[in-house]
Parts: sequence; C-alpha cells; structure tokens
Amino acid sequence: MHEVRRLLMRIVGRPAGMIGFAIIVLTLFVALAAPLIAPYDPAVIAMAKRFAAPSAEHWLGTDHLGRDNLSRVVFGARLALTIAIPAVLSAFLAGLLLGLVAGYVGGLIDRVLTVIADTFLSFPSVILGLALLTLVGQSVLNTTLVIALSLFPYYLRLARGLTLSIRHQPYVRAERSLGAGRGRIMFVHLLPNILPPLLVVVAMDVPSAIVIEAGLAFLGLGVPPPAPDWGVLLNEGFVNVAISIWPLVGPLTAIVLVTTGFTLLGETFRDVADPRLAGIGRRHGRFLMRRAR
Amino acid sequence: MAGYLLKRLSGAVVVLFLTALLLAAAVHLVPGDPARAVLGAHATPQLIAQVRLKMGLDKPVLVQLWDFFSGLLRGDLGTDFVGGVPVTTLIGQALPDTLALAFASIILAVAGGLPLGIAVARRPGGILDRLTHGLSMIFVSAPAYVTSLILLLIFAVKLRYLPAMGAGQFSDPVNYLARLILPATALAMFWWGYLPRILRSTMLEVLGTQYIRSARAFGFRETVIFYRYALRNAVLPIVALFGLMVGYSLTGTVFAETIFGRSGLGTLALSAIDQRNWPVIRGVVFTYALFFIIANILADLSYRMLDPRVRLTEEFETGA
Repeated sequence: MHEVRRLLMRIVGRPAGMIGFAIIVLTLFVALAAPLIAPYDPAVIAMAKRFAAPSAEHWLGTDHLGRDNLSRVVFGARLALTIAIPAVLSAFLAGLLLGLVAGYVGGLIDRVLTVIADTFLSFPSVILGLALLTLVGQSVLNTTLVIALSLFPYYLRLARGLTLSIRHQPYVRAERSLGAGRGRIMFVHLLPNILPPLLVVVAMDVPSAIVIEAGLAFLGLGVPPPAPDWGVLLNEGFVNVAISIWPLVGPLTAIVLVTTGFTLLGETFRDVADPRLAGIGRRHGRFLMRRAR
Repeated sequence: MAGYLLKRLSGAVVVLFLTALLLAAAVHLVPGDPARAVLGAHATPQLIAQVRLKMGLDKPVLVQLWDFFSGLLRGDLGTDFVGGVPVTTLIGQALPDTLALAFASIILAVAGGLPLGIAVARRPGGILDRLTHGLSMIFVSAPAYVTSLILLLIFAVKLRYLPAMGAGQFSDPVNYLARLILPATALAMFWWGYLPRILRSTMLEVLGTQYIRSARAFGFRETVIFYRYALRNAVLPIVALFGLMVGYSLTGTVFAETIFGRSGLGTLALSAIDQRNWPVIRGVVFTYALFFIIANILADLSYRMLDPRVRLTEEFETGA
C-alpha cells in the first residue's frame, strides 16, 4: 500500500500526471454521482423545447427530442465506464491466463493459441465488432463481449512474451528442481512478475475500449438508442448537424477529455513506474494504434 | 532475412486462412438459426427460407465451407442477396475511394508531422515544444470520428468552406482532391500529434550518442550535425511506422466515410449491415483483414530491415 501511495505521489507530482489523474477522478465521480449531478432526467422528452441553444436552464442546449444535452452526457459517462471497464478486465484476465499457459507450457498449445490471437488481431476492432454485432444483435452485453474479444489477443501476446522472458530465470528453475508443479510455478511465481507491466496496459486500454464502444454505437451497432451512450449522442447529433451543433459539443468534449486524461496518466505512469517497461515503450505505437482500430 | 520472410509469409497465409474460416463459419458459431442471425429478429419466415436457400444454409456445414473456400480461391466472394451483384464487383467499386483516402491521409500525416517534429526537436524545451506537447496529447487521444466531426463542424457547417459531402468522381480530379482534404486531415491529425513526439525522443537519444559528440569535436556546424548526421538515424523509426499508418488509416476511413458521406468500403459495409446483406458484410470484412495483414507484414519487415535493434524486441515478444 505504501508503495502504491509513493507511486501515485510521483505521478501526481508531474503536471501531466496531475491533470490526467484529475480528469479520471472527475470522470469516475461524474459516472458514480450521475443522478445527483445531471440537472434533468436524460430520458425525458420535451418536444416543445427541441434544439434549444444553451441557456441557464440547459447549459448545453437540448437535442432533437428536447432532452437535456448535459444530462445525457453525464449519464453517458456511467454507460461508457460500465462497458469499458468490464470489457478490458475480461480481456485482461482471458489474455493473462492463456498467455501464461502459452508461454510456460509451450509446444502445440502455444502455437495454437498464438495463431488464434493473430487471427483476431488481423481484424481491426471496429470491423470485427461490426461483423459480430450484426450476427449476435446489439446490446450492452454484446458490445462488452465484442470489445473484450478484440482486445484479449494483445494481452495474450504480451503475457506470453513476458512469461517467455522470465521462464528460465534461476528462481524459476530452482523452484522446479524443488519439485513445484506447473500450476504452482505459473500462478505463484510467474504471475506476480508479469502482472505490473500488464496492469499499465489495462489502465491505458480503458480509453481504447471507450473509443471502440462509442465508435460502434456511432455507426449504429453498439449500444442501441435511446440509451445516452456517447456514441449514440454523436450519431444523433451528426444526423441533425445541419439544424443544431449543440448536441455534438458535449459528447465530443467528453470523449476527448476522458481519453486524453487516461493517455496523460498512462504515459506518466509508464515513465515513473517501472524500467522494465522500456521494451514495451518501443512498441508503444502498437498499443496506441489499438485505440483507433 | 529470407528465412524470416518465408516464416512471416507462411504465418500470414495461415492467419488469412483462419480469418476466412472464421468469417465463413461465423453464422454457425452464433447461437440459434443462422438465417435468423443474419436477418435479425424481425424477419418474416418467407424471407428466412429464401435466405437459407440463397446462402446454401440447407446444405451440410462442411459443404458450405468448401463452397466458400473454393469460391475464394477463384476470387469469388459470393453474390449479394439484394441486388444479385457479385460481392467482388461491389468491393472493386468501393475500394479506390477508400484507398485514395487512406493514402491521402498518410501523405498529409507525414507532410505535417515530420517538419513539425524536426522543428520541435531543434529546440527541445522551447516554446514550440511546450506548446505542441499538450496539443499532441489531445491529437493522439482523439479518435478518428471525433476529429472528423470537429472538422465537419468547423469547416463544413460553420464556415461552409470546403465541399464536405461525397467522394466526387475521378474524372474531375480537382474536385476529387478538394473533397479529400477534410477527411484526410481528420485521419492525419493522430499522426500530427504522434510523429513529433516520437521524432523528438529519438532525436534526443541520437544527439546524445558518441558519434555526434565526435562530430562536434571535429567542429562541424550544429545544423550540419543536426540534419546530416542525427536526423537520418532519428527518422528511421518513423519510416518503420508506415505499416501501422496503413492499418490506422484504413480503420479510420470507416468513420471518415460515414461522416463525410463518401463512398467506400466502410459505407458499403454499413449499408450492407442495414440491409442485413451478409455476403457483402463478410466480403468487406475479409478485404479489411487482407489489407490489415499486408500492412502488418510491411510494418514488421520495415522494422527489421531498417532498425536491427527491433529484432531484439521482437524476440522478446515472440520468443523466436
């Protein structure tokens, strides 16, 4: 705990880390306290007040059904995180376990798992998502699963690479010669050592998941309307852009703010946290890319 | 290198085969009736029967897979159920506009990002560096649909400056290029944020090396050292990013095409999704995967050819 606090202090000690941290805390707060913060019910339709410009009652104006734009963006934060966090965590868990097994057991299992991962990696996330959601139907759960499916190969490859890099370390050999079984070596000795670098990637993937999720919803295949999802808001705002630009302002700002916050925090974390991540830093482009895919 | 190339290519062929297999079998992998999965919950029984017949869903699964693969090898991706047009014809019509956009965005990305990166690296810690640092974080974080929508708002809705909607025709090149400006810029913005940061850090690394110190000791002018000795090495990692750029741009085109009303693979896929036209969806997704796999091979090869240091990282990743 002490170490975590010291790490956090070092992150927040840098301006970029401070800003990123503040943005993320704010986002989490908004998501948790959405009903308290939002001035209106995001679902209440008021046709008399459609496309209102910003005013004292409606800070960001109203949308094509007269709903309060600000309230919809605020509730959208909740939806974005309830999809992104479970999606990234399940991708992380699946990738971690499979990667650990692939890296440590090796042989045929390794080859099969790597090829499966590569197959999923050969689709851009959004494209894979479009195809799968067409077949399974759009819903919050399906969107979460599709995002998890498109992210897990990265964790698999990373966990596998990290496992390979430490599996012949003296302490692992020593443990093996003492008669420890595969399971014990993998979960008691290897797992704790490959975890820290993976957790950095988890933190940096939450915004990737938000971006994919909103992107799918924007294209009409993620979370279905009338949910106040940021992608849905962008879509509805885009359709009516010739009449009013105000419905777009909130979700655009929210997405840029949240992703920038996570990027700032992630970069600072990587800089201060762990010299072992230097190798990953070289491949950083790959990770950033995912956000757009 | 030849051995690596062969290994990499055969790996790609295996992945491509599995990609095709996944797409061919996708309708059977989701729970429930495949024809129902394709058509959605509201389809009529007649329509379902019709689609089942058209897609050959009444045949055994293995026969269906065989049909798909033998078609694929002949360059046949099936026929769309709505218009009866071969899917490859539809893709052939859409592909040029998508590729034009992807390449235009890569050109803009390099044309903007490289000079900016050089300017920033010239004076690290200077005004330009500090100014672009914050901005680059935003550029790197903003997804393609956000940059596209913002450009649409600013230039097309507010200023009514550039033609925003549609891709235009090749036969009118000036108009065609004008229509590329906004969407290509939207996709290039990520790189305007990313390239300067990369160039700055590699430049600082290179400027700290021994051979630069020796060059200084020989009394070369700073500009000569910077441009002739340091920059060449610092640019290498960026050249190696080309494959990634292709992949990024290709995905970005889906959003840019939708937002700027352009024809292309992305809009083809989306209209096929609206019509629940599975053969077209499958074909387009396969095309994206094909380009993606090619882009990744290019990325890996250029990495290895240009920067031997990367081989070490790769070995770390693949355990080769």
